Amino acid sequence: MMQVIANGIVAGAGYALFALGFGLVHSTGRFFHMAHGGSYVVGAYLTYVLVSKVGLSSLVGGCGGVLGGAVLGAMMEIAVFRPLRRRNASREGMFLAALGLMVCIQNGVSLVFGDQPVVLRTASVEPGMLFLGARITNVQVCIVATCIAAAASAWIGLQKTNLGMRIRAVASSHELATVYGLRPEAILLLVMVCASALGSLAGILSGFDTDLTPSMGFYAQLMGVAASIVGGIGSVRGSLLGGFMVGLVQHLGVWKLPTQWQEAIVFALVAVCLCIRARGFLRTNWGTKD
Amino acid sequence: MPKTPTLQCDGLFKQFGDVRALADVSVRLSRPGIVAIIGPNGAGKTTLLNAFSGFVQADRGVCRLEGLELSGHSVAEVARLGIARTFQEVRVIDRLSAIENVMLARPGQRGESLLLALASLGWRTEERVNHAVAERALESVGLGQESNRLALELSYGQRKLLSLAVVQATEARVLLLDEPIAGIHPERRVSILNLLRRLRDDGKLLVLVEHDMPAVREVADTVILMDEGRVVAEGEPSDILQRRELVEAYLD
Repeated sequence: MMQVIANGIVAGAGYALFALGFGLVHSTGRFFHMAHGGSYVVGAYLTYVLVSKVGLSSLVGGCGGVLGGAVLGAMMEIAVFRPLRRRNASREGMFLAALGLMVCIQNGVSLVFGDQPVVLRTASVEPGMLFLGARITNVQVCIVATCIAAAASAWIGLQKTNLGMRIRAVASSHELATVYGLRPEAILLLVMVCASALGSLAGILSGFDTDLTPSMGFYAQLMGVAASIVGGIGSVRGSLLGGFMVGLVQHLGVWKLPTQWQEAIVFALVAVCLCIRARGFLRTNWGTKD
Repeated sequence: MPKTPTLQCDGLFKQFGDVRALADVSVRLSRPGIVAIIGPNGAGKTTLLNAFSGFVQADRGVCRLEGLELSGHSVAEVARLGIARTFQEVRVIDRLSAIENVMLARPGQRGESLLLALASLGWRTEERVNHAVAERALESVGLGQESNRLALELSYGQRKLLSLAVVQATEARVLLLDEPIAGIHPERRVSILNLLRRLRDDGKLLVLVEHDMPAVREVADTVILMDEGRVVAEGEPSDILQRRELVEAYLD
């Protein structure tokens, strides 16, 4: 039982990290960033190349992966989302463009690395330490700690800094932010870079925990979006809550049910939560109104 | 040689479909001063403010700020050049607190440049100064008590006052105010009129679109009467508002 909960928390931390970046983009850029999983998978595979092929240490390789994910985010924003926004693309259009990007990225990764799982772990699998009756590896501790640290920095960054104020202003209204003399495009680019860095960080950490497959980004996208919706899109605390809820429900569910039900359980949770609180449990107080 | 007017436009034309919103409007306004643009609904008053602030690009004619041509500049660029404005349907940033709205409008903060914002150390001192200035601006419009409430929680009148605090904080030389008095609680009216006068005495040019004629009479130095996209009359309020033929034709 404790093991199941521990696994759920670790998975949940990953989803929360993903949902954090996804929610940031959704609140400021106002679209469903379906290619957020692209940074996730590219960050993880880049780290794999840097660590396993180039021979860098895990830490340096991981930083390289985060950087790569951030650069990918910047490229997506500049090459795809910004031009679309300038042409007043609808949210549906942006959604489809992002989905298309995600498919391209996944196929690209699968072309280069093949569909077989690759292993990023450098050391042999250790049994992990015993904590309250559950075995947890160092990587898993690191995932949870990173998630909480990232959420705390995001919250402080948004609420307490000058830049965060600008990000919230752009999230509230692009047009009005312009009237105040801000440049929404610059802010949106910065948000995309930070969010993509968070997304790739989630991918890299999960890569050190389990294996890498080209479809890992899509799966994370599915779970991260679910977490985001359950918790309240764009809310930092909501991302945390949603991530942990999704992770826990998923793992507690398959404890009693066959594994094929894993995703179904998560989306049943989404459905139930939407019935209770249509806008997620913790609504953002700084995101968009509509 | 006459000095360059602070704000001017020459031969401004703007057509929306069949409606001629501006038909050959030329004005020259100098600071310091309070100019009230008056006239019936649909006279083109707000369109003129929109043309000056970059929200509307005129079909023909040019707007200039201190001699610099404004055509082709975006709303954000015009704002940075020193023209701030408020709107008839009050627009403040809903999801920021009152004080954040004002702080955001302060010029020359770090964070304007993203790189600087990321690299900046010691910005807290600067922020404290900004915070103090913003608090004073809120107090000047009577919102000192509401500084930490989200803008969306404020009443219509309070939001209007907030938008005045915001333009005040921009330190823009030209303030374009769309109906700053209408909808303000009578108790606050006097202090708002005083605030407008104080801003003028600080050397700013205030251009108001206003329907409240007693307020116009009290506060404006110049009145511009518009109708059907044209300037019908221009002069001191005591002069224009005394002329029965104008008042009866356009303002009743």
